[in-house]
Amino acid sequence: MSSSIRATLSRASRSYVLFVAIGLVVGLTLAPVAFQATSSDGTVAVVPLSGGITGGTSASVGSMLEQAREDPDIEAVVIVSNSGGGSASASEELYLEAKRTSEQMPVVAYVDSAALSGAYYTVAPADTIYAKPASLVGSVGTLANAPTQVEPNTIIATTGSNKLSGGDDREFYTILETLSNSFYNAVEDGRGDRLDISRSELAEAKLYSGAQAVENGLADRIGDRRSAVRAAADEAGLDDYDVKILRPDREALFLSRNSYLASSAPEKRMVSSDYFFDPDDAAPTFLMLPASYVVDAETGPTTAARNATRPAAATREEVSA
Amino acid sequence: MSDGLGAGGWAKRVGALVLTVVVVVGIAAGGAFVSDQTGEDERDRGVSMAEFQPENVSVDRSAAEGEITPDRSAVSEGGTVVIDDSHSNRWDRETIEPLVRGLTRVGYQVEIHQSGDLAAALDDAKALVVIDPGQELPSGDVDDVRRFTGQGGRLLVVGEPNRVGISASLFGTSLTTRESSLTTLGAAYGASVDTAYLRNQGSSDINYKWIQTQSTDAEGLDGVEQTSMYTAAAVRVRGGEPLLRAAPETRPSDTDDATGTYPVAVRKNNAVWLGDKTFMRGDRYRVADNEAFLTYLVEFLASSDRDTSQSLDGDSNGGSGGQNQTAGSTEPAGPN
Repeated sequence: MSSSIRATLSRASRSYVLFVAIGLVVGLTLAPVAFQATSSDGTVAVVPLSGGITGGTSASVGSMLEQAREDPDIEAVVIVSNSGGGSASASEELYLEAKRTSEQMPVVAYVDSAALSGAYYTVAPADTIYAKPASLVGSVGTLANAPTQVEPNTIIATTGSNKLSGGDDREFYTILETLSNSFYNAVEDGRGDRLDISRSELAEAKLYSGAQAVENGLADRIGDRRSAVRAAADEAGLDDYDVKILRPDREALFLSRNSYLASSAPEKRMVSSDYFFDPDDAAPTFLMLPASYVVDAETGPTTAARNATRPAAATREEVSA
Repeated sequence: MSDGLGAGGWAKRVGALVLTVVVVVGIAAGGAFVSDQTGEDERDRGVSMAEFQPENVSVDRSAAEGEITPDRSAVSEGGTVVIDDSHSNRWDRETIEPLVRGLTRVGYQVEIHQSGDLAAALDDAKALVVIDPGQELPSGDVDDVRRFTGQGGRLLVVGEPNRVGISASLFGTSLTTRESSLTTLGAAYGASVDTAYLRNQGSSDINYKWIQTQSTDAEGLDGVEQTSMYTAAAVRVRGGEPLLRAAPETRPSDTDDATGTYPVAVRKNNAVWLGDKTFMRGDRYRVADNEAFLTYLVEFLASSDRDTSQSLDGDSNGGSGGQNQTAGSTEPAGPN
């Protein structure tokens, strides 16, 4: 009997079956750990939104939000805003990324120095928006340089009456209002019943302090970054959590010194308003920025750009309708 | 158990064990990754964009159609309408062309008064149009205008709110404020044009500065229900009758609080005061009922009962004494 058992064990040890069986047992024991390791919970990701919003910003912040969505360890996101907005198109892109993220996990926004215009667009889908008294919130709307009204001439031949101009100024303003209506809808959609101002008041595009924003429902609570992280963890049901600060992969470009000074972005730079807006462009540039970022109170829109492109001897005056 | 298995045999078997563990764990980890990816795809499909859909972002805008159709039976027999261009007035041909077309359609001539004695220019005129002067009318000119309307001459004064313009020159650009210099003329008629523009975020033709206005019950405003004014000022005339009022909830640009239905067109006897010149421009006069209101203005200007055989001084008429340009004809123009 004993010799029979020994023989069996000896045969088993000589074959691979025993080792594979042991491997299966060990592997299946470790599998849940491995599964948990790749879809773990307990982390709040902090995504900075810094500087003027361009396609680069959109790609960078969008990538961070996508990373947060794909990382199974990350259960909530905090967007920290130090931005006055920027390109309308890039802002819309960021809004959709933030909204997509908020549909997957709690998203809390923290307005550090500013979440204005396109930046507010970005944080509008957040479940909760925190702000400080010194935060600037609002400026919900769109601006653009009006296209030059030209008509087909002997230099440029066109097939359609609006091929050069794109349309008359009523049509141009219609486009501008359509963009803004999307923006207003997004804010109303994101804020819902918490919004305590009418659409007309929202469309006035005012700037509000953090305290005013809490009063009118553009923000929810006064708090700091830690408050926002804690709220995000709470909304994700995390008692014990890690904080993972995601880093942008590019330099932040600031139009506002207020946001530049407040931002902790490792790579940051002030840029001229000309970077975003040149009134001499024949084609409109649609921006979601406070107009004060690109208009000089003394000399009008982007003096440098005008001086650089105007014929030196030209003198003219412009007043829109 | 060591009998028969060398070091190589054991190594192969342990290797098989490790390989099995790696495969099992790898499948588990891969499964988690795949499940995440699948979830992402489903989430992407689930993102609602109702707030962006065309039906939810479209903009209501007033139709731009119609034409100025003054009724010849409603006007007095031909005459001359003088448009002032001697006080740094800010208008161009595009601004006045629809008005001029309407006047010529009922057989009126239009003269542009560019310099010289205003009284002489008005001597044989039935109506005077003053649009956005950049200089105040001197007291002598104001007196001439007063005498003119006192004799039955019609007066149309078109002001603007203060406007900020961009000036570009050799030395760069600057912002300049333009004011309609209507203080002296307005004071003579108890009229004033506000310096702030009117805005309405809700009732506008596309843009908040392009306000909608509603006609009052004043006589002669048939066909005028709603007009669009483009950066308009409120107009106040003591004892005057408002013709057009801004839609409810309109506010001046310099305050958030004072909402109301501000008058933008007011008539008092032989004078009409307006707070916007852009609405009559070639590309705007058809919007909403603007053409109907412009028709009203044409008939107003062409309904003077002034006896042009008498000069403003009470003497018989002499020459013009000024430099005038004439447009139009006493003969009625064609339909277009």
